[in-house]
Amino acid sequence: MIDKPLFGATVIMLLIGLIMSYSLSSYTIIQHHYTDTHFFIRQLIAVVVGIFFIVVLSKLDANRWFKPIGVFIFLIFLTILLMMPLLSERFVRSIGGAKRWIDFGVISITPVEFYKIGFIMFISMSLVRTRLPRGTMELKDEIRIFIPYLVILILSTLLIAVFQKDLGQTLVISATLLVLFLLVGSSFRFFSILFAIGLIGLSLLIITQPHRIKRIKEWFLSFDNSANRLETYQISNSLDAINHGGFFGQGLGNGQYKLGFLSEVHTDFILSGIIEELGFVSILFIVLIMLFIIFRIFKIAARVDNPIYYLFCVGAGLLLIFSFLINSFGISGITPIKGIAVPFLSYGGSQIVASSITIGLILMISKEIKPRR
Amino acid sequence: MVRFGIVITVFVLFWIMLISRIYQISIKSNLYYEGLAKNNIERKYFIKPVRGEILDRNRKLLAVNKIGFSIKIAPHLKMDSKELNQTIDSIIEEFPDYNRTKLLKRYKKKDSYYNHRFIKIIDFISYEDMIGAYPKLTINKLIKIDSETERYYPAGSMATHIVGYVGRSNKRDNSRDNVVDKVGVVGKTGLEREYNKVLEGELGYRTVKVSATNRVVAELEKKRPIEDQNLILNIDLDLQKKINELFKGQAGVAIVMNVNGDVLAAVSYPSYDPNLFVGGISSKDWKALIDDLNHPFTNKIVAGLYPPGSSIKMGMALAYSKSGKGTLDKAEYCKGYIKIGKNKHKFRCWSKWGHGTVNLRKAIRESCDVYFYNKSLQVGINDMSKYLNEFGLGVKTGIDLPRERSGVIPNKEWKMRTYKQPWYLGETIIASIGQGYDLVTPIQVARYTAFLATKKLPTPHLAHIVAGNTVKPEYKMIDVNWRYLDLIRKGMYDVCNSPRGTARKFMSHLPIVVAGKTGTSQVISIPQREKRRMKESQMEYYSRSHAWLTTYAPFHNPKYVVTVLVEHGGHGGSTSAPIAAAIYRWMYKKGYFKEEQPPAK
Repeated sequence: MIDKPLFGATVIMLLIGLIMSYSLSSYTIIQHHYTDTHFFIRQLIAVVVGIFFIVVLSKLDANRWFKPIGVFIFLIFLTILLMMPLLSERFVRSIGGAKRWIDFGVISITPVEFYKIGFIMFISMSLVRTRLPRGTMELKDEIRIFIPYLVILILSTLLIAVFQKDLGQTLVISATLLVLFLLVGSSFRFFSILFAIGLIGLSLLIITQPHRIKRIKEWFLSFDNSANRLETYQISNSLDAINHGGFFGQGLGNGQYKLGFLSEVHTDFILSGIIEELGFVSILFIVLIMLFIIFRIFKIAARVDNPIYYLFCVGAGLLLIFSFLINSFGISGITPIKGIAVPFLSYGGSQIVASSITIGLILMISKEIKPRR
Repeated sequence: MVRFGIVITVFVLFWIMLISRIYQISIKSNLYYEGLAKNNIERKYFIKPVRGEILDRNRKLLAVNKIGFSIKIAPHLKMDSKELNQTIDSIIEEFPDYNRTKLLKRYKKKDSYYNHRFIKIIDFISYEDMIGAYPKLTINKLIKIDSETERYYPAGSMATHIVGYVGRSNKRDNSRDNVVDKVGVVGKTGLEREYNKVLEGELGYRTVKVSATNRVVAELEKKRPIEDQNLILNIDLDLQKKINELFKGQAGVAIVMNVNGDVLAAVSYPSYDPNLFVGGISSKDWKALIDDLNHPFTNKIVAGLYPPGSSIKMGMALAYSKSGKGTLDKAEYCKGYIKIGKNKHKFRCWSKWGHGTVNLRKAIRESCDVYFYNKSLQVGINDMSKYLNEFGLGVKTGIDLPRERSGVIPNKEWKMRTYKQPWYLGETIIASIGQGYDLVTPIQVARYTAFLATKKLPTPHLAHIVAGNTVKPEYKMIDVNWRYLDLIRKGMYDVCNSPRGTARKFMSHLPIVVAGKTGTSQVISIPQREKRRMKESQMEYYSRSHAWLTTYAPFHNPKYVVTVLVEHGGHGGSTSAPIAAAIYRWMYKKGYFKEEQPPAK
C-alpha cells in the first residue's frame, strides 16, 4: 500500500509553498519588471512536475527500479558536479563566484539538490554491505571500512563547499552521513572522531571565506540591541518580520517586510515571510506537517525489511530534517544565517522536483511494507 | 534501538528549540520589535523653516535670506558613466569656479542604494548667477535645481555687533536644539544668537511610509513649519551709518538710546563684515581681523570694559546722599590735592591750582575731584558701591545681546574675594572719581544716564517687535533725593552749556539743549602680547586715556541719551563731544526732537 498520508502531507506543503511564491514575490517582480505571476507560474510548473514524479515513482516496483534509478541519479549528477567548475560561463550561472546553476536556456537547474538524493541512494546501497557487528570492531577496521564513504564525502564537500561555495548543502550532506554511520553501527568513539573532524573542517571552510566570517559576526551582533541595524540587516529584518506576524499574522498578502526589506523572501527567507503573513500558528502548522512527514518516513523505514530501503528512508528523512532545521534556525537567529532552501516550500524548481522525487521514491518503497496481520 | 532513541531525542530537542525561539520572537518580545519595525517602514522628513529676517525701525533690512538655488544630480549614476560626466561638465561650463573633482567626490560620497533623492552637489548659487544658466541646465533631466536660502547682511559692517551673524552649527549646538540640528545653521553672535529660538522657527514634517529602498509609498502626516518670524528693531540703520562715518580713523563706542530703553543706535567701532562668516571666513581675512589692535571682534557696547572716570560723579554724588553719611549741601574747599594717612600721600585734583570752594553743581560742572575725595572718606566704599550698583553701574543691564559683561564696582568683600587683600583707604579715594578697580561697559553708562535724566532705570532693548509681539519698555523706579538730582542735572547742563563746562566747546551751539558729563579713563596697562605687535609710534596712541561723554537731551524734557566713548581719545570734551554733537544735529534734522502730535480725538 502506498503511504497516502505521506503523499497528502507532501502535497499540502507544496501547495503552501505555491501560494506563498505568489504572495511573497510581489516586491521582487516590481523590482525586476516581471509580470505578477512570474514566480507563481514557474513554481506551479515545478509543483506539477514534482507531483507527476511522485505519482509515477510511487507506481513503480521498488525491487526492479530503485537501484537503477539510484545509480542513474548518482552518476549523472556526480558527473555534472564534477564538470561544473570546468564548464564555460555560458552554461553555468554563477553569482559571486558560486557556480550553482546550470543553464539549459528555458530552465536552469541546481544539480546539488538532485545529487543529494543520488548520494543518499548510493550510500544506502553501499553501507548495507557493511552493517557491522556493533562494538566488536577495532577502530582501525572501522576506519578502513568507512574510508570509501569518507572519500565520497570529502569529494562532495570539495565540490559543493569549495567550487559551489554552498556550505549549507555540505552541512546537510555531512550531517546526514554522520548520523547514518551512527545508525549503521559505528562505535561512539569513531562517531566522535568523525564529528570532531567535521567541526574542524567546518571551521576551516568558514575562516577561509570572508563572507562566512561576516555572517557569523552579523549573527553575534544580532544579540546586541544597540548594534547598527544596517550591519545585521538580514537577520534583523527576519526577526522583525517574525515578530510583526505575531500570533495570527498580518494576513495573507499583507506582509511589510517582503517589500524589499527581506531579500530572497520567496526563497531562503520564506519561513519569515510566511510567519509575518500567517503568524506563529502557521509555523506551528508547518512544523507539525514536517514532523508528520518525517514520522511517516521513519515509520516506513522501520517497517521495511530491505536494509537498503531502511537506510535510504532514514537518510532521506535526515536530509529533510537538516535542510529545514538549518534554514529555520538561521532565520530565527538561533544560529548564523545559512542560505538553504526549505524543502517543499522555497521557490525553486530543482528543490521542488528533487524533494518530490525523494518522496516518490519513499512511496515506492512504502509498497514493500508487509501489511500487519 | 538505543541509538535510534538518542537520535530521535536530539531531534526532538532541536524542534522544540525552534518552536520556542519563534514563539519568543513573535509573541514575547512584541514591544521591542514593534518599535524597531515602525522605524523601518515609517520615515519622518523634516521641513526646514525659513529663518526670520531682522529689520530696523524703518523696516530697512539688516539680515535677510538671499534667495538662490542649489544644484542636485539624480542618484545612482555610475562613477565613470557618460551621463554623469556630461552632467558635471554642463554644470562646470556654466559655473567654472567649481572644481570638477570636488563635485564628483561629493556626489560619490552621498550616492547610495538606499537614497532615491537627488544629490546636492552645489549648495548655493545666487539668483543673478542662475538666471543665465537655468534654461540650459533644466534641459538635462538628471539635474534638479532647487530654491535655497542663504543668510545675507545688507548693512555689512554697519550693525555687526548688534545683528551678529549665523554660521554652520557645531555638535554642541546641534545637541541643544533640534531645529539647529536639522537646519545646520545657528546664530553665532548678536541678535542672531540672542533670538535664535524665535528666528529659526519650528520644524515642519512629513511622515511617510517607505519601502526598503526608501521609496515613498504613502504620506501619513504633514505639518507646515512655523517660519518667517521676523525681528523689528529699535535701531535706526541710517543713524548707525552716520555714527560709523563719524568714527572713521578712531575707535570706540557710541550708543543712542531713548530714555525708555529703546536703543536707536549702538556702534562698536571698528567693525567687520558679517557676510564674511556666512560661507566660512578665509584664514587671511580672519588673521587680519584678529590682529587688529582696535579689536573689531570685541562687542565694546556690552563687553568693552572701561574705567568710568568722571562720568561716575553724578552717581557717586547720589550714592553719597543715599548713604546718609555725607551731606551734599556742605561745600568742600579744593586746593588742588588732599593728603591722607601717616605718610601724607597726596591725591591730586585734575586742576593743579584747585577749584576753591566747590558745591555740588560746581563739582559736576568742573569735575572737581577733591569734592568727591573728601566726601568718599565719610561714606566709605561699601555704601558707594551698593548704591552705584543700584544705579546700574557694575551690573548687567539685561540688554538683549549675548555675552554681556558686568564690569566691576568694587567693595571690600569683592577685593578680598578677588585679590585676597584688605581694602585700603586710598582705593576708596580713587574709586570716588571712577578710577582704580572700577570698570563699566558703555551700555551701563548709557542706561545710568537715562536714569539721571528720568529717575527711572530702564532695561535697554534692541528688539522692538519679536515675531509680532511688541516688546514693552521695562524700568525700575529709583528713589533719590529730588533736590540733589536737580542740582546734578543743572551741573550736567553747565558741562555742556556754561563757559566753564568741560564739553562746552562742541555741545553749546546745538539746536537742542543738551546736558552731559565728560570723563577720562586712564589706560592702566597694555597687554604684553599686544605691545609686541605695536610700533613705537603707536605706543603713544595706545597708552592715551579713553574719552567719555555721556549726555541726554532735551534738557527740560529728556528723550534721548547719547553716550560716546572714544578709545585713546584723551579728553572727552575734545574727541567724544564732536561725535555726540554730530549725532544730535543729525537726529534733529531727521525729526527726532519734534514734539509729538497730540493724539487725535
